[in-house]
Amino acid sequence: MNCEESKNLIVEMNEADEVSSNAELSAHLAACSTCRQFLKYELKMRDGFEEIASEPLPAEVARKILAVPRIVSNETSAASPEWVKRLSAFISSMTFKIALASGITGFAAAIIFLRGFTPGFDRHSHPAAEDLKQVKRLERPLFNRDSSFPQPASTTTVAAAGAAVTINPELKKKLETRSRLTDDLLALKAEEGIGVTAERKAAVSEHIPGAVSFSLDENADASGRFAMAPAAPAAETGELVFDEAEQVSAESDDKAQDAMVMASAPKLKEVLRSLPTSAKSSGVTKSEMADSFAVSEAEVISDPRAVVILKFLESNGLVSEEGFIDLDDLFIKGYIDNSQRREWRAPDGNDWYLTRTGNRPAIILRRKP
Amino acid sequence: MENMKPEELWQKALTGDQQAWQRLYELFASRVYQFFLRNTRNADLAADKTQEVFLKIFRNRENFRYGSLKTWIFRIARNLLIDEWRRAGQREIPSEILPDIIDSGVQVEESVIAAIEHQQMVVYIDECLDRLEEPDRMAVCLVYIAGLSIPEFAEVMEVPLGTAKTRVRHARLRLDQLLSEKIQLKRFEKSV
Repeated sequence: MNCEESKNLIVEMNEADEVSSNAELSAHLAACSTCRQFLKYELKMRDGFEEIASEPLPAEVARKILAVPRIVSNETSAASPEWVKRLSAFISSMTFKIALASGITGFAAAIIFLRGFTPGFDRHSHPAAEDLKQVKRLERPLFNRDSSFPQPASTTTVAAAGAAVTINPELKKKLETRSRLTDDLLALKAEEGIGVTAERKAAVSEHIPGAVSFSLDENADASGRFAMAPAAPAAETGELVFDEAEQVSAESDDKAQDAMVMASAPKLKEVLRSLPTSAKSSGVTKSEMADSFAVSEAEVISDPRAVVILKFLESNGLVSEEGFIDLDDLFIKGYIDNSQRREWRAPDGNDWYLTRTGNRPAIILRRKP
Repeated sequence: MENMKPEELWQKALTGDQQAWQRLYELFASRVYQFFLRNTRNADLAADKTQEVFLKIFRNRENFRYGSLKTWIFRIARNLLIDEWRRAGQREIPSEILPDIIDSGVQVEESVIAAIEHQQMVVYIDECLDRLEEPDRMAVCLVYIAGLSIPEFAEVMEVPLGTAKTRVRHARLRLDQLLSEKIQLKRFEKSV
């Protein structure tokens, strides 16, 4: 396959995933940097078009389109012939209902009357008929009172059972997230009143400029606590003092890392604002803390997807070197599919960055160079 | 409902299933609206035409028995757009004969591609669409905004597959040239 054919295939593919399914194209891409470059351009362009295509409609148009079936059915009923309208009006009228009820009653009465007075056969006085009635009564009891006979479950029971097995997964996820947020809040409140040590403050100021959103402090104390510090440069963010936010208790390092990444900036800010007024252990008010966080929000914002990406990289043995993670490259090399590429896309202006704190790898968001 | 094909959703919608109709709306409404908006640059007109497409498919529901619902919807949209151009009388109806365009072998350095932000690309595309000729713009919109494959595009345009490929390729070459100009210009501005 030459470059011309490769480019044509790329342009004509329906889904970006088709690249990995075409062995010949994949082989060519592995060897040709120009075509890899073209594929990256193609992916960016398609993402751009996808963004345009998914722009929401004006609310009024949306409402009108959703009402189309009703509008058309109204048009259809309005366009029915006159006799159909009269017939339907008569059927729905009270006169018709009374007539129908009378008719059914009369018919039923006629059946009963005719069956009760069959000429030439007196069922009430005939001994054989009496015997037959007895046998029938024994064979087919009107109500089965036997407890072993399967009884239908009541509506309530069925409904309750249904509710128990059909918990909405989205609702479940929301509940879990809310529960985690509550845990974070409780953890932060539990830390209230614990001051920042001089070493800890030094650790904050020693962070690489423009680097990690949060980092684990290797000098965590023996009680199992670890510190979580915003590592934006002091020159950009001003003097950051982060007492409550810095110290979060954790049972294990893994849990601590999860908590670090989960503590996205807006959430943490919200938690900080909810702290009681007494949280001034280092002379900084909670609003000052929240605002100083807001200043550096673009720099330090983290994302729960970082955990997923890190796990993915670890499972594929891709955590060897520090540096920016090129999702397009991972896609072209077949590590991820197109949906993952889109789902994991970093917010504009940032890229995922693989960093190491001690020996522990972490994924953070970092401004593009 | 999420994994159902549009044709299955359509069958359910015809029985009065509002959820199925809602899902069809989610699948196509925005794409149809953007198709009209990018081709007319008139939001009110695009809104009216989008509603008209959905009214037409529901009114003429007996006419759709097999095939692709997406293709049917966009054939109606394309015909409405051409009708609008005719009615307005301001534009030339897109010619079937395409002017020759030379593949200049557009190449943009990897670093430049990497530096383009997602939102920046959206803006560039928006600007470049304006500068495309009508047939090219229609082709680009049908393939990249409506999400049609080349065979589906051929069906919508009622042309043979080979012709469809040529048209899409022509439109892409032109779009690539315009985008490349934009990207290089941005790069130059940054360096200055």
